[in-house]
Amino acid sequence: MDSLSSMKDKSLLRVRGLHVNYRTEAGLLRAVNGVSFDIERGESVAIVGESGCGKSSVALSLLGLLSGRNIAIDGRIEFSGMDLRTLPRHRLQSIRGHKIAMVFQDPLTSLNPYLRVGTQISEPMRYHLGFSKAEARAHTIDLLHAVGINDPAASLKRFPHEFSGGMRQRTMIAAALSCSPDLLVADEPTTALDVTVQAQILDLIRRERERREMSLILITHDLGVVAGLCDRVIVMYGGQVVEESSAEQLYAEACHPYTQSLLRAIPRYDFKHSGPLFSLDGQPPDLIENLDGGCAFEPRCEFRKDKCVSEVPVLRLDSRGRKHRCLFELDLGTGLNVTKCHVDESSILKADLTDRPDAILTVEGLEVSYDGSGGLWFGRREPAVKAVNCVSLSLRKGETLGLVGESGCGKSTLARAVVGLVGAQAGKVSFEGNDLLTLSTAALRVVRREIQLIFQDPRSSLNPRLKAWELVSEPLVNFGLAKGAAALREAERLMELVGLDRSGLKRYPHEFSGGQCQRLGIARALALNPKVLICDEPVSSLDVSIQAQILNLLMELQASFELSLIFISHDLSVVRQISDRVAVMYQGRIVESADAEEIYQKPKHPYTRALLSAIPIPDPTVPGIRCQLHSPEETAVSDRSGDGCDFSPRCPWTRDRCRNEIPILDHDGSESQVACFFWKQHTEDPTRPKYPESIAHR
Amino acid sequence: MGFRTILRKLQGDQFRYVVIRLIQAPVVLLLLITLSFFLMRFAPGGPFMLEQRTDPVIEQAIRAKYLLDKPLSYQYWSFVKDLLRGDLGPSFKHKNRTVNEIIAATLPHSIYLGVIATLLAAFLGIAAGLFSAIRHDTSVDYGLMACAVIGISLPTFVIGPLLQLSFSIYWQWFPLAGYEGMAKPSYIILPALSLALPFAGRIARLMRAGMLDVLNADFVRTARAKGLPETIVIFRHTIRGGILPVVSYLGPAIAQLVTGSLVVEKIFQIPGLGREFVEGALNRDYTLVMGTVIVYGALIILFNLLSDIMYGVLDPRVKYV
Repeated sequence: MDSLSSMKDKSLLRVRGLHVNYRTEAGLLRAVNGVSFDIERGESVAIVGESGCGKSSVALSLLGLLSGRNIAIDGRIEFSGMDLRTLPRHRLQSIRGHKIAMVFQDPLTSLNPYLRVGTQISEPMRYHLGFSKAEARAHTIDLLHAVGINDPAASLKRFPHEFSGGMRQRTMIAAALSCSPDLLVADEPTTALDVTVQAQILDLIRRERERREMSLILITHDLGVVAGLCDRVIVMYGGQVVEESSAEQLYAEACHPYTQSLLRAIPRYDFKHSGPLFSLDGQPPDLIENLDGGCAFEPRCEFRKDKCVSEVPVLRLDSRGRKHRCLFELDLGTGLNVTKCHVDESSILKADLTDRPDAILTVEGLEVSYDGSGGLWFGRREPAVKAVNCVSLSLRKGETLGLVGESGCGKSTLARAVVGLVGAQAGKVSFEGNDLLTLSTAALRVVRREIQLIFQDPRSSLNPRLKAWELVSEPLVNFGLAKGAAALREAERLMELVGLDRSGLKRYPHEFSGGQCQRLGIARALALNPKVLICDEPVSSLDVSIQAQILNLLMELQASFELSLIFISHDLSVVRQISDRVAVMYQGRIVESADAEEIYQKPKHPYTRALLSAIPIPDPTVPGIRCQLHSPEETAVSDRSGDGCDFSPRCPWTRDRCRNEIPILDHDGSESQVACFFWKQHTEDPTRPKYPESIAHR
Repeated sequence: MGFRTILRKLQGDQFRYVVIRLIQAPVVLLLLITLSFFLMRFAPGGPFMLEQRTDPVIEQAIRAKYLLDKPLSYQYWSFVKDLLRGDLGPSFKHKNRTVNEIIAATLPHSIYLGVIATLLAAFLGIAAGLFSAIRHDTSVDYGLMACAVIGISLPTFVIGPLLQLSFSIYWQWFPLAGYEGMAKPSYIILPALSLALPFAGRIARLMRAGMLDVLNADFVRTARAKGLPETIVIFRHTIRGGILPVVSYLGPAIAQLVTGSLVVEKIFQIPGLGREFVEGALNRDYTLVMGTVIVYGALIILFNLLSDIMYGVLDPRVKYV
């Protein structure tokens, strides 16, 4: 500690012994348990951990935003020599938003829906810097320009709901930067955004941080996001710091087993894992009255020894100068070195077309449109939105088809239309010789037994008033296949199948964790012994360690029951691990479909390539290849209308033909299809840069 | 929130919406009229069924005068035809008075009382709800909410005499009863208060719930993170969202308040419409009941429209279709 005080002039923020306790009905929840760290001027630090590790509580307590009768905070938070915790309220208010600014996770809920964007950005300047209305307006326009919002003067007058997710987050950042703070605290700033938008927002934060020489605390669960942005990483587990090191060192050589597990659990789009994914078993610790001795990570640690149960580790510098909270000086290496063993390319080119099994489910020319809103009396209907536009797919027995695309591309609508939850306007969905779209309600009900869904949000898709066994056996009861004691027995079997303990049979969904709820959802889907499972973003709301558990479970179940899976996700890395074939959707159309290996190794459509290049790689040594696309809302309206390729306004290689003609899915003799006129030129022309660094307005 | 802002909102889609609603209003009203007309005729009893036997000849003459001897459909059409000319017909019970005269004589007093009561209810309710939300889970909160529950659950015939007892007999601040119109506003305070208190209680609870919802919203946390003082956080960022449940409640509530209340009018001796409504119904005074139903229905439709427009002005996300 002595060495630290000599550095005091350099450090901007010093946190010492921070404790945050929540009084809950179940007892005292120790969310943050003695956290200390420093942030230097101009430094960029990531605080990383899974949900419930206390990282957000740390962020909120820095600004004094945690208050209430049920919250007790202890410790010192020093900012530029002032102790923020003892500061009177008005002095603290003059620091918030002025010297320390914050960007929150969900830009939809974090912006006031009742106030204009201009007001929300300018109010810190009006209050902290005493700007007049005109001055604040001029600065707001500059800020909007700096964060990349088109037509700033008009945008001032708009409301947040008129903006896309990415533009909302840009607005949040503009408001946070408005007073040129010394420290920006960004709490999961890109978690709610699409991957291409995430790349843009991260780029924006990086650029503004460098320009303003601002310090940054990035709170995230995603080690991929950290890699290109932060100098130092603090890893939290169970309310404590378990490791602190420079970013390069952390990725090269993790010292704490938890850090290493986190790194290993991240699915990589640039590498296909053979066999099951690495998964961290068990659940994060229960922080309520968790006072028993020993290491908090011990129950989940693969290196645990007897000593770990009895002795409490402290955060220390070990003999090799590494700072971590492990009793041992383990040599773990990194979970990342696997990147080197790429699948060799020859194997994917001669994909054997001969022993492909028959298709179990085929979709032909499916079209789903949502009516625009329009008056009943005054016929001024808005044009219908084609959510799914002429989509054809086939799913073979026992295979997994990955369906990828950004939010709003129609992938969930497609899934719902296939099972008849949404009416389709045109097309055919054939399953075992039946066209599902023309079947009678009664006949469709029978077929539905064979096609089951798994939903995105495991908690909200389970009825909170039913017990676990009732939820799981409900499909059986509905079809009259079991009831009473038999249903209970079946539920027990199903829960065992998905790795849930029978003690949970009589519990309600809220008593399960997120991952366990998703297991319940899977058990319910399996109850009728279906042939096809449609998984709609089944892991997107789960932590990485839990995500791997669920993916492994799905793969195991698929193998043992010969299930055919349609796996919908926005996360290309996840899709790669589980899929045999992948279809990429853009604005209701399939733009590319191919074998998984091929699509990841040799993406053809510009959109696929942009998606892949936008994924942050959890490895600072891999240079970030950034393909900047315009997000759809930012392209001028005149670009968007017309009969051309839907992607042409965002495509870096658009030509005249693309604006006038719609490309159809083009077979190139093999299994792969691509809807682009010029993909050959893009991918094979050696004079073209592989990924344009940044494409300005054309 | 000036008048200008409201006008600005009323352009384009919003204007179309208001026009559509105004066209729908007479249709809804006609449905209401038809339904109440036939329901009332099918209800047992009639306006001229008296205890003592009347001469059949006289009864026949009376029935003929009021068209009661004609088929129901004929009666209905002649009522609607008169209505279109703005004539609600003669009262069946009050001799020599038309329903138009009765309503013209009583409705203004009820509106006066109702407007004052609305202002009182809105002011007391919103203030109480706001305070208890800001002081959530403190004795202030519990105290105010206890008052609100008392206000809701005490019937007017208890509140009215209690107010009379304390404010006019014990302290002698306000007159006991009577009505002097706008000339002497002191007469209207106690009746307005007893009419307003149950509504104030409901508004307070709605306001508190609405505010608590918004105070826990992420965007309020964002406002605090910007270092804005708490007054700005509350008044700029929170109230607009918090008041929305109150706005949608106020529409029907105002209609109810301005059409008068029999109990309050009886206790405080106010010549309002509420008394006519109840007595008309008891006497089977068909035309008078129809008149009051039309007034009440029109007011409900109007204030619901106003509260929907207000809702849209406050919440920019509302889309008019």
